[in-house]
Amino acid sequence: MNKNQDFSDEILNAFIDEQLDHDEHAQIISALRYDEALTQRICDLQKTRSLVQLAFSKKLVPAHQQPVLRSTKQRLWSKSIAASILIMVGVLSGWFAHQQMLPQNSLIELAKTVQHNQIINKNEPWRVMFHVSHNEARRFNILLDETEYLLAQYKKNNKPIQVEILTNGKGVNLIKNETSLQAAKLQELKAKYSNLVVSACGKTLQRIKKQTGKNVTLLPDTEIVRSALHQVTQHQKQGWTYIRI
Amino acid sequence: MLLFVYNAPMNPISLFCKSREFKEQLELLRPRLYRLAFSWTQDHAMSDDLTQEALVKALKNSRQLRDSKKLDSWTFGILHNCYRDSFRKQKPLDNIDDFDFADEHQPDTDYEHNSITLAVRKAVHSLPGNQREIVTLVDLESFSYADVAQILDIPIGTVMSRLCRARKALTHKLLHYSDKMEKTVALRRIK
Repeated sequence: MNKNQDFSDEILNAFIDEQLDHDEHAQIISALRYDEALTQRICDLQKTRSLVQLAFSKKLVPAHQQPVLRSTKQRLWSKSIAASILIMVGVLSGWFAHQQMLPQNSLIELAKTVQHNQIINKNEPWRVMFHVSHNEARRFNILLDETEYLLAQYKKNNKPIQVEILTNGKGVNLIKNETSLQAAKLQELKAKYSNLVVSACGKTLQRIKKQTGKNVTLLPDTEIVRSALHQVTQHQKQGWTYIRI
Repeated sequence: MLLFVYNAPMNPISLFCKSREFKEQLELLRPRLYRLAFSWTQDHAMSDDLTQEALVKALKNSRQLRDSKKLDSWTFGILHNCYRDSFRKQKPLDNIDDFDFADEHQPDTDYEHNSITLAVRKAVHSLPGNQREIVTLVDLESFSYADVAQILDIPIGTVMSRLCRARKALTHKLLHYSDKMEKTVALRRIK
């Protein structure tokens, strides 16, 4: 028995959006028991709705939080000032929005996309390397946040993962013990996750020593590798996912 | 001479609109308004501006709010009006970044093409405006059909039919996208 044609698309949309009354809702639930085509139509609609919700997740927030709203009483005497502020806010929000190029968790999405293009042995952990060759704190903070999220998710799902943050050039400044503001965050992550390794390029360290005459003090347990280039090529041969930040 | 000054009692909604709670509740709506504006415009800066404009107008016209429980739908209605106004003022422009060039097979563009998120956003953006507004109000903000009808000032039957057309178009576009992806993967494997 097939009553699939009895329900219009409008009704099925209303069903998944919980807009039907009790009797209509019960009627569809009842039909779902024997009507596979109806089940498929509802699944397709729900899948589409889920995709839209996924694409505009709740993590999508204003790039620039604007000042708290002013009261209406203040408005009268400060109309011109408010107008100027609004213009400035508009300009600033445009500027900050352009600065905020990476949407949240885009790094993980990118890493996963790269992963899919590689041959993965399911018994081995997923190994991903983030290469930092600049000293932009904002980008490094995003990297730390997303690395934490990645490690937490894999730990939560009991999936093996190995992450290496490799620094060279100006990127070494970000893991200098005495200067880096991100040091505490990085140390906290390393203490929490043993599968996170931070490494620095030996060539860069030699160059800095030659220029300044001083040894660079890095965070404790930072691994010093022969050179960043060598490390990247070796890891890529071993099947690591490589992302340059 | 005796003067009688009559102070009319303020109704609860007027008091609410003047309260700090009202302003706080408006501010709490900011991320939701921004998300919806972004789903309509796909532009971060424009979404920020629309959100701010809607909040300022809500504060300015707070007396028009009849029921404090309807604050959400009332504010989203203002956002919709702001969006429509900006849309009327703007001349249609084609963003150069939206064009596909033949030799654009770079890692970053390949990533964009592979990303489901961006594919869905593109599919939503390609819908006619009146369908896009409805599908996002229902899917992202979980507004009832009656609320959407009120926000957009259209009959509830129109909401249902446009939503139906929007979801049908999205399903068609996204299924096509999935098929294309599967074919690409298969070709790579053969190589």
